[in-house]
Amino acid sequence: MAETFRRFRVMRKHPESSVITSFHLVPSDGGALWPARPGQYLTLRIPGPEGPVLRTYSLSNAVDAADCHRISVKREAGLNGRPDGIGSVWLHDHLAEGAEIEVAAPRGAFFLDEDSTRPVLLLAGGVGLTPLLSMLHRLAQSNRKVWLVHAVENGGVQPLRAEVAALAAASAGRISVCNVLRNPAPGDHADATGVVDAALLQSLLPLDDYQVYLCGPVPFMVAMWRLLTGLGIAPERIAYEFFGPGGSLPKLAADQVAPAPPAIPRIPVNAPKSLDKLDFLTDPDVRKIAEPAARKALPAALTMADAETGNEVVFARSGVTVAWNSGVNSILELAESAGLDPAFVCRSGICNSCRCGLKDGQVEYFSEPLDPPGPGQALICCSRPNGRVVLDL
Amino acid sequence: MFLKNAWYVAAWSSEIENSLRQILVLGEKICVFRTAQGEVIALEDACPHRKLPLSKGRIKGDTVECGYHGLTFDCAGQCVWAPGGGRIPSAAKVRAYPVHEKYGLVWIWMGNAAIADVDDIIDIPNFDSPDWGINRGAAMELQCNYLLMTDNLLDPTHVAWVHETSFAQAATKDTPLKVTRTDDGVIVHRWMMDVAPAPFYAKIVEFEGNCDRLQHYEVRYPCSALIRAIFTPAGTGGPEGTLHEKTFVMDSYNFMTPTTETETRYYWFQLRNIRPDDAELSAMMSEDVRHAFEEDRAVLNAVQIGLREKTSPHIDLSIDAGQLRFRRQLEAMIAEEQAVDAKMQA
Repeated sequence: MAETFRRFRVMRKHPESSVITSFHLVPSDGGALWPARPGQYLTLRIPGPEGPVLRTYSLSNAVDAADCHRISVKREAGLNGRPDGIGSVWLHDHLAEGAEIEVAAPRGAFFLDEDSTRPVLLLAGGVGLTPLLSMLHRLAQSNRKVWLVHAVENGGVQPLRAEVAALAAASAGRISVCNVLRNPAPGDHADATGVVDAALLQSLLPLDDYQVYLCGPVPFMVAMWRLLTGLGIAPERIAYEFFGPGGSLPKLAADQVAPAPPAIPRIPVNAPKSLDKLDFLTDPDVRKIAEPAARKALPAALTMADAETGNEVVFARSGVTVAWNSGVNSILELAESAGLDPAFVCRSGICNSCRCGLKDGQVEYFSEPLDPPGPGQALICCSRPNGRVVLDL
Repeated sequence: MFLKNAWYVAAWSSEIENSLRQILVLGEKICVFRTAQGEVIALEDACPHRKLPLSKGRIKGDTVECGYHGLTFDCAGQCVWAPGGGRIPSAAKVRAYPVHEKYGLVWIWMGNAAIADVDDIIDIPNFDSPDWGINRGAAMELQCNYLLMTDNLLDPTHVAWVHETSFAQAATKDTPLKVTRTDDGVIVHRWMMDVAPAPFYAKIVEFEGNCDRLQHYEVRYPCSALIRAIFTPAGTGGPEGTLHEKTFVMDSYNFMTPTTETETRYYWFQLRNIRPDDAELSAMMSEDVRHAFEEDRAVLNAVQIGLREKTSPHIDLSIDAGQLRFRRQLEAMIAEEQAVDAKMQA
């Protein structure tokens, strides 16, 4: 990864809201901007008290912009005794216009599917707008219908509202925007107040087959996931990205909620009458039971501040440290991407061939292991790091 | 190890007549017969006196007479006559197993009779429907542990190699599987989209061209299986499919009765939603299915030997997730049942 870093200069730094600041970055060597897909993020190497740390920030401008890459960063001040976010506070407080910083090429699997022609719902919570705004710039050049719903606390913390409005205004009605302010301050203009709920979405969206892109704080995403799936949107139509540690949104949603009422079997419209009595047909998953939580759920109070702590894996025996990135699914894949060759057979948490010593830190399982590993052990084929993890590999 | 508190298939109804017969279920020898009134009775097959199997005796009215000294047992297993002229010893009784006939099968409860509930027998919604046809065949004897068969029935992947000429098509090799746990078992399923129908089904489906195909492999604790196949014209299937008036559904019901730890009696029939009264179609389907199951039997019998004689560990692949989760849950249920039994005996 090291060879992919280039030096970038901060061409412009300006506030977007009381907590969010944009940084316009241009290559110091005068070379070209990086190619990126709408929704991807940059990785920045930031000086920390114990050496450099790597932090990722979504591109918030058009990926085909000619002048700069832009990131829009929320200053994550420590609350309730938590430490300040190392990356975001340093950027806000120390990275001045004209200064340089090391930046690695755009990455990430959360990006706009441009082959699809489905109408798009962009659902943003707070600073989660940033990757969706990059998508909106690209969608503004297409002929797809787009709804952007931006949920924020109040007008004072809402970033980039004018830019969104300008894209909508130029779209001849193709892009619709709804600003949902939870607690509007005097003088704020809200299209809706309170939280995003089913009634709001149903009033905004005509019945259609949407592709949803979802980004925001974890509790917001969990609530939206339940809402969307409850409205009948198929999980595979909901793309999402966590800022920082997240895991599986379906699992988080299942972990934190009481068991759903029994699913009503759906008899497809053109099925022969002979199938009326069958209790399930096209989708056997209607009979699924809630899987036991493979690990403790993330605390509901988890905020973006926690998300700043960074995920990385130290492969202690090999002497390699690799930052987590969304281009891989598991620690096993992360190890392989770093040139390591750990043992594996099943790659799905059932055979324990990849079991190894967990010397420090915590992993979270996105697939429940058949035989949970003992204390001090981890199965790397079905897990991701939760913070900094040291493995005996 | 077996789960005792469960209904197992003891026999096809047609196999039980007004004569004594020994069957083997979970390693227990059981004397079964049909009374003159047509009721099926199942008694422990050992006279409490010298343990001659009652099945070597004779039916006398609604009682069974031991072939050695004439001890006579009623349908509840109570001794009603013993030689010697004296009173009948209090220990002179044999265990009577709850039985129930349903779906042309005799079901037997192998655990605590006090909690046997016929409502727990598997529900087969279209068994008596005039819109559905049925085909069936004789029970098959497998020389393997019953869990090798439940493994097989949670394994759509094997079709590509074991049933190349019947159920297989290219997509059965590598379309990913989805594992779902339900309250009473495990489902492994996948939709294969826009594929040519497999040879067995191509003869049966009533539409032309490619299809969307569901392989739904479901095993319920301890060892009943529903294998549902759906073939619908390409573009009408999938989890959100609308289906088509010519959609073909075949529900294959499979019941494994462990006779011993290393042998299994395998009962099966198929229900289909087309041409319900077509006897020729039923016969053809039974013959083709029996042929395919013989292919399974040959493999499983050899796997039983292979696993027994192994000199190095075997490995589990990602395709085994469903069957391993099923085995794990069943093991837990058996352990729990044994703990309860131990407590009650203490």
